Amino acid sequence: MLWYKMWRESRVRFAISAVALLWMCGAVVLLQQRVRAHADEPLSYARYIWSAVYKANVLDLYVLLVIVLGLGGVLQERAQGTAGFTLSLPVSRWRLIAVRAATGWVQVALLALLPALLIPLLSPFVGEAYPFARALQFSVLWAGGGMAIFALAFFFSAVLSGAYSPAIASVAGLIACSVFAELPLLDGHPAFDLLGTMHGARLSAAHGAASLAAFAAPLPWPSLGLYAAVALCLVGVAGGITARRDFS
Amino acid sequence: MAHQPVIETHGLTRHYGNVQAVHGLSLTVARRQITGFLGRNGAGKSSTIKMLLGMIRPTAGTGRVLGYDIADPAQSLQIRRRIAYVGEDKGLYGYMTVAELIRFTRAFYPDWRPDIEARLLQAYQLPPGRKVKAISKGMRTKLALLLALARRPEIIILDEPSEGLDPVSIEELLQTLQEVRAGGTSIFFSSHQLSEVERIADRVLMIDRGQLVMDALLSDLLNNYRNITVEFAGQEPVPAFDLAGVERSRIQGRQARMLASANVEGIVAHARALGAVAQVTPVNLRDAFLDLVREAP
Repeated sequence: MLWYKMWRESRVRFAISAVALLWMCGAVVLLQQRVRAHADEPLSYARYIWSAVYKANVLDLYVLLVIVLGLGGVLQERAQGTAGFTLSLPVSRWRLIAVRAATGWVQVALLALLPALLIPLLSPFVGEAYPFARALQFSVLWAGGGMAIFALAFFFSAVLSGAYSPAIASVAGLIACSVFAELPLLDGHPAFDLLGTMHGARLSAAHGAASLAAFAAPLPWPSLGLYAAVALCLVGVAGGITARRDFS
Repeated sequence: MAHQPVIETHGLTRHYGNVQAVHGLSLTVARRQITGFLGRNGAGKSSTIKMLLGMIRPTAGTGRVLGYDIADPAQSLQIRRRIAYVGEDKGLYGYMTVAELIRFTRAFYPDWRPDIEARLLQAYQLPPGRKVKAISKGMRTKLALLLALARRPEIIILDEPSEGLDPVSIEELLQTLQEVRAGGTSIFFSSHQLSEVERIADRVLMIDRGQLVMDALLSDLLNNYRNITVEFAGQEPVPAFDLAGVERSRIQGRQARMLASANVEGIVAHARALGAVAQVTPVNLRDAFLDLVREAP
């Protein structure tokens, strides 16, 4: 039943996130003709989708929504007055953490999947095509990066009290990661560029614009593995902090 | 086993920085009794209860609930399986309906009693379809009690259960607690409402500045405790009354006021031997409480 609690706590945020993502993706597809007509240079449909959805606007929205999904937890429940009830249940704090993290990761993965479901489905209505397999590749990138971003917000929610502090700290953390990834020292280590990996820049650069419409490049599994490991570590540390914290 | 206390602490201590919320608290709570845990605001009642439930860790000392160590996370889980807790703010999940919250809570307790749930749902007139955040505080208290009672706990721990309730709801709450005790459940509840404690408690534990200042059966308190006022006519200094049975003494001018738990006759005889006039009056819980926790002038 802990699953049920975690789902009930986050379902409104999840539903709003899903609607926002679907609306944005839908708008990108439906407005494609007008935007591409005003582009500085000829833009293939695949390139347009990548620029508008996977590289910039919708990805930015996804990152923010994932941060919002990561907020919550027992520390935040204290402000709502429900921490006492939760902590008096016969479940360990580790289990509370594990179920919340797992629920969140499933939601993050489902959100990442939405563009892959909508864009191939909607494209024929505007006389275009976008392969599901290709869209699914980007979804995997989003889900992998989203897992780490969710874990970052999850971690800050376990460390910082207050409604806004964890969100602000998460955004600041992501900006710091981006700055860090630009350091010359990390040239040749694409895994450190989380947002770069998520929008598939290297994927597109490697295969050129034409290949964007095809299921082509292999996914950066080492980078995705690293993000999964970082996410697990962050949730583990958050669990350790929560298990030892006093809830007075 | 039946005579073993359900709760016992030894030297339980909790500091928050330089503040000593609970200091060397040693107490026991007997089985199948209603034990009132009295103290002023900030005396350490809630901190003690939260330590018993594993929400905060003791700085020092030990505690056991139903024989389980409160400081051990695995044993704390066993404690929470077998007891029920109703917090001061009755903080329940406002986003669930009454029925959803009951269903949610039921899943954690294999020995949940649907018959008790149904009876209390009807008796408390709780609206199953209404969101918890939309019901009154009195209704939330009743819902919290239903969630506590339907799983037949061995102990119910309540932290300021009547806080924020109207007189009718308080009356119903006290009646419920008496019925629960009659069913064999031990009740440990904190309060600063003396009249409530006096009405239903079998035993009274009084805490002040984190330390236990009284542990007595309420019947003993009312039958055996006495206020003794000793007045000295002369100009010589009023002596200290360090005698057996004196729980607390306070000297004001030419008058010494004492709360005695025993040896009343001996104390009076001692006062008369010193040339003073002694007056003995019965004690109620309010007198005892004020005597024990009021700041010395």
